Amino acid sequence: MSGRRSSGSRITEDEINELISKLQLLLPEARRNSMARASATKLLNETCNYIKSLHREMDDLSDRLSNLMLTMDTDSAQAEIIRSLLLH
Amino acid sequence: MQDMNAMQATHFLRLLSRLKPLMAPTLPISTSQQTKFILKSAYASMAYAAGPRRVWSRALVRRIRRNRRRPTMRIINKRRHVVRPRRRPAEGGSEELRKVIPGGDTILNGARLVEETSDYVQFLRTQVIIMKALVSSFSKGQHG
Repeated sequence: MSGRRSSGSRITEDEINELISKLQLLLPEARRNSMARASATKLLNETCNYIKSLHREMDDLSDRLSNLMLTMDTDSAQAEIIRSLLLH
Repeated sequence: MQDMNAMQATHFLRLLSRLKPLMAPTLPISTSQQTKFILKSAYASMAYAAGPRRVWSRALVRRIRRNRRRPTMRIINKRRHVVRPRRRPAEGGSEELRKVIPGGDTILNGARLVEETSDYVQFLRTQVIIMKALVSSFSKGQHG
């Protein structure tokens, strides 16, 4: 970051612009395109929605994993997962 | 980032393996309890991989531990009061975001909030990838 700001709760205009660009980069491609000229508020909202959707995905995947539990052999799964993650 | 993935994945699997003894026919736990356990393990793995340097990871650990214990009680004027974490007023626009980031309500600085958000999202994304990989690998196992 360029300059150190005091950690007060006021945000300067520079900080706002920095935040806007950071938030834009955070969103996945699909959500980013409509945000080309978005205000900080819109970006904050979209980021919120994105995070909530990730939370829902976690809920859903936990549910599915739970149903698959009986077949789970975690030791061989461990090797397989790590292998596939490292190959990416 | 690859090291983070492996560490996060390994930790998640280690936590999941604790479920196995609980599934023995003599001590069955319900599917919903299983799901809760898996979800808690998922967030725990994120916090573990991120370490204590982040507000969100520390808040997640506190949240997970709190669920196991009864809420802290204090005696004030001879009455029992449940101690709740103090909420600080947030400045405009970012309230919603603070609610959604663990520990977000304690972050006053806007720039810090974006840092934490960015970090949290990355670990969330990684956790989703790990869980999807597990689901697909175990689904294949069933038909194999």
